[in-house]
Amino acid sequence: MAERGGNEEVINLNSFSSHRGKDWINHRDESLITISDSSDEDLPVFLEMPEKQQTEEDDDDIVILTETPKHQQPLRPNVIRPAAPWQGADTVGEGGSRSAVEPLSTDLQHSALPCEGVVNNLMVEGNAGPSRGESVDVALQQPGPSELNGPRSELTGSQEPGPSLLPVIKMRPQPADNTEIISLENADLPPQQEKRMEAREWQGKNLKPEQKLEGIAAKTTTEQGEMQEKGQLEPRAVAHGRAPQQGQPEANPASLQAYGGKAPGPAFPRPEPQQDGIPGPASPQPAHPPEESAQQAGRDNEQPGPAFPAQGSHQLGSGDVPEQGAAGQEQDLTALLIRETEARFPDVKKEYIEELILIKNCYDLNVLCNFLLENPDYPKKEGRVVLNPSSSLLASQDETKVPKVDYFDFSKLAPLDQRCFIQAADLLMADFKMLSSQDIKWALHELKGHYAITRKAFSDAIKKWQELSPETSGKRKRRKEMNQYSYIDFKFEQGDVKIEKRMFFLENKRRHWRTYDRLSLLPPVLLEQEFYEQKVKEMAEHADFLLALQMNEEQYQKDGQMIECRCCYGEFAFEELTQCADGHLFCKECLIKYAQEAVFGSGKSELSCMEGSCTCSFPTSELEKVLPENILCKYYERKAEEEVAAACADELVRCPFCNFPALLDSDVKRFSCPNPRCRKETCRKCQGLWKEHMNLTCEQLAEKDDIKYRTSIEEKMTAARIRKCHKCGTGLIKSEGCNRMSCRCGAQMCYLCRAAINGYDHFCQHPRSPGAPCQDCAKCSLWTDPTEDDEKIIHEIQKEAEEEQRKKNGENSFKRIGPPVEKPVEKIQRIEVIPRPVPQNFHQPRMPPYPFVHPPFPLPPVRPLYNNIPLNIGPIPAPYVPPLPNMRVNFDFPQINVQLEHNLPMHFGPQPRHRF
Amino acid sequence: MAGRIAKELDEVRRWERARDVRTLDGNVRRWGGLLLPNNPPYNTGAFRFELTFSPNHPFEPPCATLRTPIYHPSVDLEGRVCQPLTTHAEWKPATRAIQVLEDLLLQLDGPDPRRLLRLDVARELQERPEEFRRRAEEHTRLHAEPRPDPHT
Repeated sequence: MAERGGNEEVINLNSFSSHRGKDWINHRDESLITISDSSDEDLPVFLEMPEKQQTEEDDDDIVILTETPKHQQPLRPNVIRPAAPWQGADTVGEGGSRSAVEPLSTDLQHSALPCEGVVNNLMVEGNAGPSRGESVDVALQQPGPSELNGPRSELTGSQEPGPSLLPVIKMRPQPADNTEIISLENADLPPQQEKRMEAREWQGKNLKPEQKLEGIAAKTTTEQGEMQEKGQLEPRAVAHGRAPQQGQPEANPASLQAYGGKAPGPAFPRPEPQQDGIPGPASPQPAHPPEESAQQAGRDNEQPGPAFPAQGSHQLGSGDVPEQGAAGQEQDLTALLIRETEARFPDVKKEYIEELILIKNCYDLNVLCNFLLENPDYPKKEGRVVLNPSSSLLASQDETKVPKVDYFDFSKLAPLDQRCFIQAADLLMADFKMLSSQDIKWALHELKGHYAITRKAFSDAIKKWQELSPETSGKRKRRKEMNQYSYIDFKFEQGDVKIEKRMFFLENKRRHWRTYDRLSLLPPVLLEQEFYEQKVKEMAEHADFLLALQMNEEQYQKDGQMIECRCCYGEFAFEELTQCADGHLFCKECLIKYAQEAVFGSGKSELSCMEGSCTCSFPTSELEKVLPENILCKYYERKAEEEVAAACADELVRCPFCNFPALLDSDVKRFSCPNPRCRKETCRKCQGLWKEHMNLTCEQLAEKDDIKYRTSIEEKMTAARIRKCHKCGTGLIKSEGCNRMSCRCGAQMCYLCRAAINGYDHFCQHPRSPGAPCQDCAKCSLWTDPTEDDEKIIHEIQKEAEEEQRKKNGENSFKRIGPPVEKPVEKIQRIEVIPRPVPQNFHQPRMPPYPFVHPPFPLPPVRPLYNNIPLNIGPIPAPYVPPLPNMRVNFDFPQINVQLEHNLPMHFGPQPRHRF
Repeated sequence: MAGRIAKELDEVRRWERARDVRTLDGNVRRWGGLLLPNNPPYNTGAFRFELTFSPNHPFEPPCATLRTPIYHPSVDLEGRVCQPLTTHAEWKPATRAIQVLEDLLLQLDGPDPRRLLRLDVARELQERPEEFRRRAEEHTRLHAEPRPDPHT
């Protein structure tokens, strides 16, 4: 349809032009120029057809108008303004645009003032225009607009191109013609090339079209009424024209500024023209009549219309001629380029890439990418989460979708059907030509017809046979001969499955076997074959890797470059070592053991260097490189926990059921577990369920339940023995040592008065008799038997509770509170000052560390020894250690051979002296 | 880590302040030997020490005790000494056995007032130094082992 219409128009045009007696050439040029515009625009040809005729009429009028340039000025702005809204409409869809057009026309008249500035901008744009051949044209064009402003004379001078001025006047009517021509051209796709050629010839005349445009603008003023009615399309055209401009390289910024709000619009319309392709263009051009459109048209001719293709063509020297076919190709190319670039820079704005391509006139992906890399602050897509299609997140998902089957795991293999069996057997017979088909089939059958696993079993058997050669005695081990007298011991063992068979080799190699190409293999067999080959490759790689390691180490050894691990004193190649921040080298194994000990054992949260004099710690990067995941996780967990605990020791409460930690204001008693899987409400103090707690005190609640009551009392007794770190809240128990207790967090406290201390100044430094109070001061004593003091308190609690119970229940139902009575505790007078054990590392059972579950009961009595001979001072009281409070901590210790006895959570003992 | 212990044993054996260092009961983790203090009143005798390593050595501290009775404010009647170096909090895996022994010897040579285990002895040392010295020498003479020939 479009074509038809186009042809008709062409005819009109020709007749028209002849009518006027204008130069054909001029028309052509114009037409060419307009074509470029048209290429951008997809507007339906038919609609515009009638308009064109009208425009022709307009042309006549225009001549008159040209005389009064002042009028034109106001027109421009009008045109421009409407364009903005129009563009928006255009982007949405051409159909919608029409209705919108009408209001614009009215706007045109009103907005006179701004137009000049706009014009200037436009000119600037023109200058900026990258196109070479066109640049001249652009310059020429610029004057055009200026004329509109008033200083025509200058323009004439500037417009030396000569033909322009006169033609301009004449031409003005042409815009209408142009549109027609365009339609023509568009319609006649084949002829285009010819026209292009012409266009090239006429490049010099390019100016004319612009002028025409101006003229058109003038007409528009006069004919606005008509235009509005009929030419709704026109404004659109303008918009289109602009759109391409913006898209264009350097001109863009200027245009953007000039048009302001319009800028965004134009970018989008572009793609449309491309898609719309050829037929559309005709209609838009008629729109150009407004002055601006003229200028734009000029540009359009040069830049926008041909837009993408144009530049290429410019380079070629073809000039302004819009080649639609070529354009199509180039558009394809740009589209491809854009797609490729977007794949690499998912966050870059598509329009920007387009601009880049146009501005830089580069069609090289490398150049584009380089440019983007060098200018990382390119405009980015907004509000869109950019997901790189190749990101690991996606990849992992994909991987999980296709679970890999381990064809070497016999237990997971299902029997295969007969056809697969036959193929697998054939393959195996090709693989092992010295083995009898019977053996192969037997083994295959035993292994449920699976190729991979059977082949592996055969390979292993043969390898073994080669290694276990009885003939190693020879000088040089000759490759063992496979003959009918030798055999392999085929053996397969996995789980409960165990098959064995002695297989003799064939006398001669098998001569005939069936081969398959990949396509003819059944999928399961093919999969297994691929799997086997993959595995073999992997194993070979792994063997190579090990060999490389070994060679590396040997080389180090040879060069005497082995480095001693400062911890285990072993010798290692550098690659096997890790280092603290200060560069002390340790082998990886030592670091792992050290971390294990520190994290699970003594519960340190800091992995300081193993070197005594080094205060550095291991950098996270090294830890992550070396430590196995479970230790690393635990380490981080521990660290985080400690930090939290240190930050809010008082307010951190753990759910007694799920151990979920949460912060609770210290005056709130009800703890509602935030763990969605728990949600239990408990009393912060007694840890009883809150719903049972209603109107009851913790004691009353506990009394309701005898066991609970006892537990609560016993916990109290325990609490008397536990010291809480003032800094991190960790519970501490002293099993031996002096009264200066230090928590794993580094805080120190006095065991006696529970005060936070720092160093030994807190304690009495006066020498005095054992057990006797100091006469010189009232300070705490560094060495006392802690159990005495604690026991006193504990006994008091116990007695009190028992009394109470007795009162309540009577003697009969009395139950002992606390641990079962031990043999009567005979307190022995301490003979000497036996300040209880000094920091000792005897491997006596100790209190497990912080996350204790149940402490070992009474500490083994410490028997005073002298010269390794037990002193006969009778039995020593076993200190009472009540069960610890219900401190369930969710540390599921992995199976690591950490011995509990070494897990002392705290350090008792004097501060380290400065070492030399 | 047996390799490390063997190397450490070699090192301690080459140390002139200790003698007769060897493993006890064929257990490489239990060492015995003689320490030779420098200062009076203990420099007339040799004191047997025992050093026990954790099976987790060197990730857990070893433990040193004196097996020879000594009249010393920092050594209790069971031969234990306060050695912060070998506490869990202070122990570093790279600390060597010889450093532990050096620390022990240093303690014998010059009692650290902050590491007193026998306050009565300490008071005696402070208030009646001559008496302390006399007793200590007597004690050393009675209990300490004879000093080995320095050239062997």
